Amino acid sequence: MAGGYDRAITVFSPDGHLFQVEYALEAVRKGTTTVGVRGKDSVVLAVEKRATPKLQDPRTIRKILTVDDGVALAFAGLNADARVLVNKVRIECQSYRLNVEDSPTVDYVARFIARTQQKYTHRGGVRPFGISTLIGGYDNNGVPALFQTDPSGTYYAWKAAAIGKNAKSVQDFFEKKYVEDMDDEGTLRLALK
Amino acid sequence: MDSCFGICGKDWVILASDMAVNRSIFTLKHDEDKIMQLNKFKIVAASGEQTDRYQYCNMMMRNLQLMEFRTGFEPDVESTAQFMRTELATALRKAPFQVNLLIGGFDELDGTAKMYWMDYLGTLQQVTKGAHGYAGYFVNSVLDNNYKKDMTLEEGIAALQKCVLELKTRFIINQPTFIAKIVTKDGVQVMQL
Repeated sequence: MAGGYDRAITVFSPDGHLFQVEYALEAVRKGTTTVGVRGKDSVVLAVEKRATPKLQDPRTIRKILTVDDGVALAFAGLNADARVLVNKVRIECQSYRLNVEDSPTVDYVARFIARTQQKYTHRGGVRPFGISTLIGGYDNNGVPALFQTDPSGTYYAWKAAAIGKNAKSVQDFFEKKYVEDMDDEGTLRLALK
Repeated sequence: MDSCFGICGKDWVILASDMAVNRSIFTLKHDEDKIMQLNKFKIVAASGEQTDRYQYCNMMMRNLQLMEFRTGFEPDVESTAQFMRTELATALRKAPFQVNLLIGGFDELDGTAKMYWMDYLGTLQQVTKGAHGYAGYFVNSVLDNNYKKDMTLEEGIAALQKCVLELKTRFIINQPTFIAKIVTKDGVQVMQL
């Protein structure tokens, strides 16, 4: 038997569940509430401000990260996993630009993240990323876009989405209060509420 | 044979290069921009093998962009030059890039401009004036005669115009157009010499 990295950790249960993925989703559910709202010409990503320990420098807490010119990412879940994943995405964006001489669409970025998260549910010796991401940005034609990915590797486009703690109640709130074609200020206000 | 040369003042740097692309006895185009803008405050003038020039400069630009996303700021000119040198030197004994470079940039932190001369073997040296290719034979003396400490940007442009005149008068290869890029605290400007 070879070294040790070929045994799968994420395997099916008898009733068709991938428990590792579901546990990862549980980890996400415990993370800071993160919301994204897409308006007519803008996308707003907002993260709940957690109380920081007295001696910790609050400026070093980065929960909304720039991934490329015009694409930002906010996440809920394991900070370290996010750091690793964002690093991969940043490299991929620059690689895309080098090869294609054009900026990647938000859809491409979301698809890449989803693909990467899925790979880690498929390979031996690794566990899934314990984060869900909200990716907001602009495509070349100036249309704003908002995508969400989760540990299972699925990605969806949203008009307004919430992840992390209390995601369900925030999502319900959005369903009631979301209005099509909101202007920049409206989008911002809704996200902050 | 590409001509590139440049001059560096206290808080400005100008790099100039010819715009011809030659193949055997033909001039394929007269408007090739051989000075690549790496980021807001840095430019690199490259001379040498066409593909290597394009590939290397683009790769450097994308890697520097990645570094900027990862760290949150543009690296300074010295770091940029050293990074580029390391890439050239590593490739040297595998698949060498046949490009000679002049790297010019402005450091926001201390408000000074710097210029570096780098050849295809990875020789790197900070300079106040320099040239690559056959142009050097003609232009180094002109630069030497016209350079003085704390010269103004206008004097620098005039010096480069004298270099262009020298090349047009004495160099056997016809190079009708020259492009110059200037880096100051306001970023990069382009001009025809």
